[in-house]
Amino acid sequence: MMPPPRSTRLEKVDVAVVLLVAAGLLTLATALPADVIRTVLVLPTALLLPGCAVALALPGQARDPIPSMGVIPLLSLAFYAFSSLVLSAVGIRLQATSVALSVDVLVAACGAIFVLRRGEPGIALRSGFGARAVALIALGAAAAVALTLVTVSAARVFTATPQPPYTEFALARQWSQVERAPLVAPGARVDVPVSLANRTGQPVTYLITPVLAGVRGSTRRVQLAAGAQWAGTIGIRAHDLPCRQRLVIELARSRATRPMEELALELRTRTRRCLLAAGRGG
Amino acid sequence: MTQTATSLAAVADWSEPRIAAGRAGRARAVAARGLPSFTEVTFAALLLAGLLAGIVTLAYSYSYAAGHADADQTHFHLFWLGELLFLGPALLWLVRDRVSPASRLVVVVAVACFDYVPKYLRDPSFPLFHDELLHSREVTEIVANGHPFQPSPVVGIIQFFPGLHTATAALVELTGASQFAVQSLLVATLHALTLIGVFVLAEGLTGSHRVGGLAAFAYALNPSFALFDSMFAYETLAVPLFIWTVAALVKAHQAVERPQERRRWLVIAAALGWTCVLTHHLSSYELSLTLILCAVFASLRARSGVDRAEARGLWAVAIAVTAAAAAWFLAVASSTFGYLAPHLAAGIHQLVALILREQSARVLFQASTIPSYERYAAFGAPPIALAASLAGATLILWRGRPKLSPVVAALIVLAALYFASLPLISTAGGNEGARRTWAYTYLGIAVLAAIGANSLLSRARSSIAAVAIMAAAAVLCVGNFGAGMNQYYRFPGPYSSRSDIRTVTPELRAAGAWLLSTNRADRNILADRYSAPTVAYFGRAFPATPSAAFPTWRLYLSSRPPTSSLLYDLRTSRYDYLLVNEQIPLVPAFYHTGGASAAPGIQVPKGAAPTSAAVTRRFDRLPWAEKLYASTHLALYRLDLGSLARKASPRRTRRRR
Repeated sequence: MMPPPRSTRLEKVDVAVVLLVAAGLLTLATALPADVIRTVLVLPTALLLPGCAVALALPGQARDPIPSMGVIPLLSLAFYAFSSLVLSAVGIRLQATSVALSVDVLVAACGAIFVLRRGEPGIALRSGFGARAVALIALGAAAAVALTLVTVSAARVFTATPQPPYTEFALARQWSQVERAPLVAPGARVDVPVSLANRTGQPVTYLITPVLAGVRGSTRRVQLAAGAQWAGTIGIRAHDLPCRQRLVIELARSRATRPMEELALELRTRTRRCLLAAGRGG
Repeated sequence: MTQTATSLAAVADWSEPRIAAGRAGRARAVAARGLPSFTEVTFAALLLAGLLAGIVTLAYSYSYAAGHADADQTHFHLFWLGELLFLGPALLWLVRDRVSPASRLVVVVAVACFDYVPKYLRDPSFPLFHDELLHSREVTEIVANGHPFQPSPVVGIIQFFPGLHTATAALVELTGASQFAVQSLLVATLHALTLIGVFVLAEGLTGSHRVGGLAAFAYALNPSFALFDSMFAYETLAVPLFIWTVAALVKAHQAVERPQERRRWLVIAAALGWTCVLTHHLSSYELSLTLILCAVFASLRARSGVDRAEARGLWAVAIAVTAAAAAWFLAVASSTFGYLAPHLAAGIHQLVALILREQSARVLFQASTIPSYERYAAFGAPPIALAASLAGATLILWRGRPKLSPVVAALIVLAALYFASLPLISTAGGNEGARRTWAYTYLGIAVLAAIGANSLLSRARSSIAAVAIMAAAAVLCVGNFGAGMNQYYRFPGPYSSRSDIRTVTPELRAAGAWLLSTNRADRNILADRYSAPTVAYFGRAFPATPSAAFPTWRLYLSSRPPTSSLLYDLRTSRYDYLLVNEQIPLVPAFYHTGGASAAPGIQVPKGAAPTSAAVTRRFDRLPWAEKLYASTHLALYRLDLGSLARKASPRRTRRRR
């Protein structure tokens, strides 16, 4: 006959203290900078702690380890789903502090229920883990680590996201958020900030030319290596008329070819006549 | 055991192998206390090697597909080689008799993780699938605003089922990790929990952990598991909740003579059922149906006092979950009816028309580039599933092994519903809805097939039976995978307007990111149907949902200025931005709302359809459209609707002023 496995009895209060300490550490960990260490510390705790506390507070005995363990992460997720609704209902924002404190409250409440409930003396932790179980746990852990590392590495080595070439050309700074046609003084120089990104996979020389009301301005040449970005301004002098002038900023690869991209926006001329016309709804 | 056996104590019992029924089982359990045998160590090494080699092969198949045309089928062959490298040895382990439950469970978890790898490798950096983009956006909005029920574009129903989104947002807040990393880890965990749940359910019903392992493996072969259920969407959490609720009922049934423990599992079942109600509409309705079936079957067989107590418990859970689902529907998510009903109605209507020969059936695998062996397997999989299910059902109904419990009876009904849903695949309207039910109905097939397979392994010469089971599993695996999702979703590849997923290009993502960085979140935008989810997630923009009352497609499809009513609606709703994706065909379906009539996707007209480049050329000249952003295939305009309105009716505008 096999000797009975050695066991360590944990009193109810001890179990409750362990849970409360875990909850406290979870709350403290949310103050750590957001990095891998915090994720590794917090994520397993966050997935297990609330479910564990609820499982302790429930009546009856869980005889089978597999379902008892399997249901714990789901109970934790159930807690987060319901507690978020409760927090929202009382007007509290869902953020690290409020979530961590709600976990603390749950753990304290469940711990109290567990401690105060009659008829259950505590829990026994078996120390007599068999060599087979140790081997299995080691194998499972090794497999999990290997699986994660190999999957992430394989995804990096064998990239599977097609990268069709393209060029990105856009208005920049406050000009990218224009709500209505900007006012410009006649004869004044208009400097429009633009940004350019070369995602073609090869170095390209771009020509940027402003065209205001059909009149071409001076061309700016920009050389960009593959993957490089550029930001700068393109200038042109505003005309007196018409009152609304369309500014087109053309992007081409050479003077001989048609523009590959273009940006366009309306400008309003700040003359008395134009402002009066605009006031009349013209 | 004299001590309290709470869940922590149960963890401590891990080292003690479960004692299988019978003397042989006890002998094995005693032997199992020793070190692993040489065979076990060899097999474990083989499994681990297969797992790692399988992953590398899968990754290579995706990389190969990304650089080659769809017609080149090499990536399919590589993919199946990768799957075979691990799933073959894994199934061989699960069909073995003398294996400890713990090692079986390790293999089941490995199968779950391995089945998540194809989805992960599809794009390991961003959400990619249509629904996944929208669910991820909902999490982003909850994290940003601190409250659930954030308005969701494109699929508005998402906001009313915040279970997964709030739980994920809470974990994002606690960990401080990137949202996508938390989502990926969570989905992998839920994937594993799903198969553990099936294992617990089948093992609880039959008392055999070999049936548990086989049922989990069979469930992993269902058409939705590897890809659809691996994306971040509300089903990802709802499916394990569904399975674990049923599993909790089984545990309650096992504890029928221990009232405290029975009550414990019933409370857990109710709690998980309620979470399911918060999480997903269809899952909660299917769960309610399943629970009611269980309760009805329990009442029908309730003769003794113990049976009546069990029936009362099942009714309590069924009523609690069904009432919660009804209350949630009435109080929060009444728009679910308008969302689900068209799919169901269109499916039934088209099926009737099909039977009456008023319309032709949808051609399966039309324009598909999958290999012929996948097509044959796809047609062969349902008969094999039927045969395996019938074998299991026959054993239960005629031989009474295992005993017909209420949950087993409900699972037989679920399996029958799977086969009843198959004709809907031939209809355009019912196809999508039918597929969405398989994650639940296949649970019945998995358990029944595992019971049948276990019986075969026990009776026939085990090596022949194992070969037969592995051959059947291979057909199910290949066929269900082929039937589950089209080649565009399964593999990366060149741009194609035949599928929304192939239009999610780095260029489109960059445009969304530019909009967010320069114009803040929640900008209302007009976009085509395929680009909308990407712009919604990467730009945190709010794409319009076109309808007959809000026909935004006219801006793209008609060269005339918008009508006064459309202009008024656009102005009052502040739809100031318009995206043109020049690669999208200039065809109405791409600018209309998706729905039952459009399912399963957009039929691209034969021949060369004009592209939306014509829209860019037109808008480039419009004085009320300012082009803020341009890339090789995209153009983003800000619409000066105020000036257009003044131009359209200058007198009225002046009078108002």
